[in-house]
Amino acid sequence: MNRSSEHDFDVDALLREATSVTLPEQTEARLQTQLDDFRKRMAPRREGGRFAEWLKTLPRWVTVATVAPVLVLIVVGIVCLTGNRVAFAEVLERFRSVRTIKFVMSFESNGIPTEPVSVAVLEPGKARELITAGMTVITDAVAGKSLLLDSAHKSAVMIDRGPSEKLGAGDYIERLREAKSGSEEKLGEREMDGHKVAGFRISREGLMYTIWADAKTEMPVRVMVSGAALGEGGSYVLRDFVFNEPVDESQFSLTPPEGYSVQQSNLVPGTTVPSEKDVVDALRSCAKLMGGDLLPELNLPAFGLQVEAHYGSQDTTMVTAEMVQAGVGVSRAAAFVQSLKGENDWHYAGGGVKLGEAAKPVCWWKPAGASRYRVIYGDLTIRDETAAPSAPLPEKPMTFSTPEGELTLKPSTSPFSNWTQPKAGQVHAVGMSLKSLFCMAYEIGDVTINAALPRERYDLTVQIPEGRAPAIPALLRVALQEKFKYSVHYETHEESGYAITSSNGPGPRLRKSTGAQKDRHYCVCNPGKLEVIGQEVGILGVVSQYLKAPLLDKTGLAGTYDFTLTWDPRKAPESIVAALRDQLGLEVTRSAVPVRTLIVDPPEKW
Amino acid sequence: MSSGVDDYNSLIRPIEGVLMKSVYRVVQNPHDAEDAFQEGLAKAWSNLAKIRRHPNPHALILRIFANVARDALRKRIRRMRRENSRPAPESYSGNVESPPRAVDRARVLEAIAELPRRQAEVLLMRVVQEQSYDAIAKAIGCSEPTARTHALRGRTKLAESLADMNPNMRVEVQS
Repeated sequence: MNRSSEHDFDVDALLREATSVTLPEQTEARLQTQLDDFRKRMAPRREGGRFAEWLKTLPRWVTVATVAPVLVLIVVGIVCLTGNRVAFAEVLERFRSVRTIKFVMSFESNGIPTEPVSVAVLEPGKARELITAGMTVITDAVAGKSLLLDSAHKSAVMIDRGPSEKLGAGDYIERLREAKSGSEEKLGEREMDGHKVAGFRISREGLMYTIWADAKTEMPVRVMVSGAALGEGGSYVLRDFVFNEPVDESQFSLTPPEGYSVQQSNLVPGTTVPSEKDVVDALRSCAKLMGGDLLPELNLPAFGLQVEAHYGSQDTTMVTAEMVQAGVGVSRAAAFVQSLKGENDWHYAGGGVKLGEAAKPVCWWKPAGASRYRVIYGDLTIRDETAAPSAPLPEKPMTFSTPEGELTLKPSTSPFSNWTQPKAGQVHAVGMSLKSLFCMAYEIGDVTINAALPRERYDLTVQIPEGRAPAIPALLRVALQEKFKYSVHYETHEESGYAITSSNGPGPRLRKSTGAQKDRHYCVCNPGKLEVIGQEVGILGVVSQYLKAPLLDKTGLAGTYDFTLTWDPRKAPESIVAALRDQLGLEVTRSAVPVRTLIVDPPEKW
Repeated sequence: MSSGVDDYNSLIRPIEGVLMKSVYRVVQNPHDAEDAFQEGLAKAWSNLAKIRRHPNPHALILRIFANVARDALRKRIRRMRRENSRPAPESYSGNVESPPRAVDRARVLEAIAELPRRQAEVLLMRVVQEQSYDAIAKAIGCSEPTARTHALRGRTKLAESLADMNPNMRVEVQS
């Protein structure tokens, strides 16, 4: 059985009816007595008492001279007695009292940032998020609509969200606006980006908000949002706040720009609690997108990988209303799954099942207090069963130990995908696709796997003993070979691309890795920005995705470098070539570049 | 310069009856209503200077009483939860002129008490005190669209938590 509600729920009428009680005569009489007493008590007194009355009789300058030193003493006393000089109520007021807030938000996993999103929030209830160059989401909570703009393909998706308060990234600001001072944990003061800041921590709707505000101005500097829902070590970081800056309100308009093709997407209204119906709807809409295949896992990363596998990467694929609708459906289904507890015994076995296969169970759980299992089958019917279907045994973690180090590979359940290398010889990666693991193992940009994959995503842990060279790719090759028993061969072809050389040595922004950062190694590449710590120059190959052509490293520069490369993504590839030349001091020439592709030939059965 | 008593007589006295009723409609319990009313009077008295300067003094006074009523409701709900029982309004026990209604008042009151302060006060001012959005906006110090947004969000949250009381809800059998 499913429950669904209509939109026209007249809450005001319900509220009016619930509060339509008459004040009983007896109570009215008591209140009247109370009122009479109150009037009698206040009559001989004057507002503010005798001290205030006396102050009013004095000249203004005498009043100021009398009161000011007392106030100063009180303030100094408060400052000395409490550690933080910043009042949390004042910090919250910064969020409440402004009409516009701009900030940058990024997801960080164990301190490594991923793609930043530029967000602007405009009261009442509007938000604009620049997700990547060319992809923007405008949300109007009052209108209950969102508009997704894909400037690369001149397409727009109008999303009818129903009466929902969700503002996307702006939600975090809304939660802070609603927060109250008094329950915060004070974190003391520290230095951050050259400023002295004071920290506070509060909990809101299952998430922990850590707010750092400038100790002098009380302006928020950074907000970190963490919690179980964001995964272990995962947090959203909001920074670079700009308050009350005038914005062009037309940028928050839900009218698509001229020349854009517009699609409509009617999402499930946000007022309903995610239910089993959401699971069925998500499975159906995803299967329609993926040629009848059900999702191998019921979460957004798996959905993203499936979309990429069927339609190509985000750069080349136009986002359609169906994709948006299916993606939101998956997130609602995932929310339903998250609401279940251990005793509900949730299982998902949709990998390899086709839509319509009525005999194959896809997922099952035992509702709270029920004696029978709810089972969703491949034809998306739901039946009550006395026993749970036999679940395939969960894939066990595999550990590979060699003298060179130890590597563990286990099926991933992480809602995120992230690679962290806290120091040389240590890797902690979650939600990695098998294809990306092959690319890392063979240090190659492209791989073709000639088979359907048995499982999409894995968590990976690597530990190299001290004193050993951190040969992580070699160790990963051994592990993959042992687990999947495949064979490989390479195919090489030439493509028109770019070659980088360095006849004058590294440029000013190409710095040798410093001691301070020697234990950190990472590379974050987004449209318009590449941030590299502790990597060889060859890592520049990652910008080839924005050059739309391969990049060959002929610099001969050895060792590891720290650098940041920025360019205008709207003017790529010319802006990237100019940035490589001007910022890193490299020469860039057009060249035929040999491109090697790894072909993985699996055994007959994975 | 006007005194507190003068201000009281000109600003609060004319609406004393409205204030009593609006507090009782939310609290629905004689003892809590007395406490809340007393609290509201004290707050209004200590803020008379601010009320006097306010562009819509009556709206601000009503806001004060909407908030004390909400606080009293929350307090009672917490107390009842500690005692592990539902926060049934006193009016259920016959101490009321209107007969019991189909609506589960306790559920609705509980849901109002769970709303964030701003959303609750705007909804109470709008629905119980029947104030205009313009007056509400002036009372809480924001723009009219912002007041409407708070009301919308409050309604959405109430609709979520009281979804099973929606008369338009239907039950479907999954085929």
